[in-house]
Amino acid sequence: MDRKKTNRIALTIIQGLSFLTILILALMLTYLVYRGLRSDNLIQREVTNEVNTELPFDVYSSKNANLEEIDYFTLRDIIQGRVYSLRKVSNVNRDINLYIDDSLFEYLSEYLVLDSDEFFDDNINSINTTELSNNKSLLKELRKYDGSILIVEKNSSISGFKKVEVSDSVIVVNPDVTKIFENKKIGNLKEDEVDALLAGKLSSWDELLGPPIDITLVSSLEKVENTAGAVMAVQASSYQKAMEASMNITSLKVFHRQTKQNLTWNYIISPSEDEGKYGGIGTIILNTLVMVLLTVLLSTPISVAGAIYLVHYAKKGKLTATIKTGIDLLAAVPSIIFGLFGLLVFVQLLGFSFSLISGVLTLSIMILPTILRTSEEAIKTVSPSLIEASRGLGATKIETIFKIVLPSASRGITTGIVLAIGRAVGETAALIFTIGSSTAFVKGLGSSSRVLAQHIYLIITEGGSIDEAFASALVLIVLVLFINTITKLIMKKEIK
Amino acid sequence: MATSKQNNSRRNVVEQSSKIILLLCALVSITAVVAITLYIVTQGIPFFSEVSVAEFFSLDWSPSSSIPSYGIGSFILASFEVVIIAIILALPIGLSTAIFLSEFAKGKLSKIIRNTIELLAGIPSIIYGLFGIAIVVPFVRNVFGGNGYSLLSASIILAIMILPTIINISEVSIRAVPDALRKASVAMGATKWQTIYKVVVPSAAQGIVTSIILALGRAIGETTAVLLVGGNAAVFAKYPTDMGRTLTMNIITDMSYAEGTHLSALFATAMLLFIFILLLNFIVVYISNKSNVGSGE
Repeated sequence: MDRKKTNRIALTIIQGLSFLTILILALMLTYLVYRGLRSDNLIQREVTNEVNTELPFDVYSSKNANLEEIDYFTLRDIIQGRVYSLRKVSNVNRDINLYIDDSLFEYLSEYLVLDSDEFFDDNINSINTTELSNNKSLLKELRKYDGSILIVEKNSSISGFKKVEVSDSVIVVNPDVTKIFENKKIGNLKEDEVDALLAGKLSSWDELLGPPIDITLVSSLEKVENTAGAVMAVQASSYQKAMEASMNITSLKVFHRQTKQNLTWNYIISPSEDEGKYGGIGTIILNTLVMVLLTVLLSTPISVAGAIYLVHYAKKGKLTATIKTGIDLLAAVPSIIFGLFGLLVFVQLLGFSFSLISGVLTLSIMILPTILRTSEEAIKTVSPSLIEASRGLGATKIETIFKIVLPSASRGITTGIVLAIGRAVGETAALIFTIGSSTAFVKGLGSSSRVLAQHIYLIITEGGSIDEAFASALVLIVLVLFINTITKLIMKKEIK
Repeated sequence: MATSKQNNSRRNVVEQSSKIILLLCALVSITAVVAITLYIVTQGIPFFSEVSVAEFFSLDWSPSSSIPSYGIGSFILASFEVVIIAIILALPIGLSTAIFLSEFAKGKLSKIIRNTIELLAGIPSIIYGLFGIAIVVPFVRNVFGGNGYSLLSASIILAIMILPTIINISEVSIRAVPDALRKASVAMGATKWQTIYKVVVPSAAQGIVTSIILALGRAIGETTAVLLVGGNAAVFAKYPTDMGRTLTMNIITDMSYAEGTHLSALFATAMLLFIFILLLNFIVVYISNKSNVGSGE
């Protein structure tokens, strides 16, 4: 009985642990796909969405401006010309091209608390909304340019742009709320905390790590100024006016959860800008493909020739044993050592510097054993009767190899090549010190270039946005899965 | 007749020259290995004329201080710590999966597991690293404290990365155990589990050990993934949950700015790493030779 119990338990554990491998892979892939497609960040900002006021204008941006929401203060900065590029606003490397309906200037001046001479004229194009909606060629031009922002009359019929929400309410408090008390100071509020605060669910500021002052909800800025612990949500415009009138009030910053689509088609196709800080990964993907193609073109003939030698020419002996040991050892060398070797020999000794050719040569050596071993297996399986028939008809050995053996073994060789592509596409350590890091599309063998896996590495180590790392990782993993599927299809056909 | 003779001699030349070309291509691998060895060694050896071997193995790595010290002892220890924990984590899962695949799984289920392993083997190490930053590091931070970037995080990532190696090679050797042994064991009244751990696994021990050593080789040479999660602090890590630096991390981190003795210290580090890899490989060759001799008798 006991024995059977142990048996059952042990077998269950074995089964459970094997399923764990599937679980791990599933977890990894799901997570990568999720993070690749969606970005989910807490950003700190001065405004919330608490006060809903009807604004008499709509803000539109170009579809690729990566702008879904704009806050009052940013809008104010843009119109003043303090912010002239989308770089800081939405991480898009384009100067802002601003069009404002001419009937809205008066309202905007009032709303943003700006005198008309504070408007930054160099940046602002005045236009009539109806005229604009009829001017197809201008609209087309504006749609094309990622930095276009239009401020037009409400409900005007402008298509092909993305509507941008304006968030313009501020949580205003009496300054005693933000004083340091017992080494604690009220920090940024989370959105649910803001909701609870304004709904009157909290009674004292110390629940939000502030001082032990009662929370008082008030309804005018004068009361905020004069009541201890007072709080209210107001339109940013009123807050701005109050600040300019030097009222004794302050605002609380808020954490805003921002979820966006992460990987976009635009990110995949648009070229990288400013050494990978902005723009997409289009050029980097192209560089990766060029690198892999050249690597395979260089490595395949050598590997296949080596495999032919081992199967059809090599005799048992020291030489063959040495060759085989060499292949085994080469397969075991870690990629960082290949990187160092490439740095010493191709980059420095041969003077290729950090360039595509240095990277390609390094990787070609690295993937050599993969192609060679698979090709060797494939060439071995070509039936001897085929070869004998060919020789019997008077073909020389080399003719037989090119006309009979290689065509019959082509599927196996292709499998090896595809496996090697998979390895080359994901390689990082061997390329960091050899291929350079320029994000532009390679101009020639001698130009520095960056590939996808290395781009992910550089984003992380140079402190770039982790969202971009995941977006690029998703592209890379799709490439790898695609290559994997091709391998399977070839192998399946071969078995049939 | 003359043309035919000419033709024949031409064919002969083609035949001979192609043989030589093929041989040269076959020699590329071994040439590359020799070249790599030579370059790493010639760059690494001069280091020892300036710095004593004892200092090289000390725990103090401060190449940029006024009295520089080039001790990589803590990196060697960290490397071993990381790979040993990785093997301890991966072995139960890997071995169970290998047993499951060879002894139980049939049809669709085994297909799914096999595909899983293939995919795991195909995922680039940078992606493992990214996954480590996003999932493993926070996990270690929440469970063990600290900031999560630690040798343990590196071990967990490595454990996943070496699973395919352990599973594939162990499975082949478990499959190679003759069925007669299993049948005999069951006939003697042993349960399936007793058969597995008293008969099958011991018979396949050599293959399983080989798989572990190959996995060790892969783990010790891995760079990108461990670099992203290991913390990369150039100090001796007292506990696995501390930040640490392995040999590969040391090479890749300092390479971009090192010069002079510092640079040759990095090549000496690479040389040591290379020696470890060679040793592991010779052990594998030794084991497989021994088993070949065994089966020949």
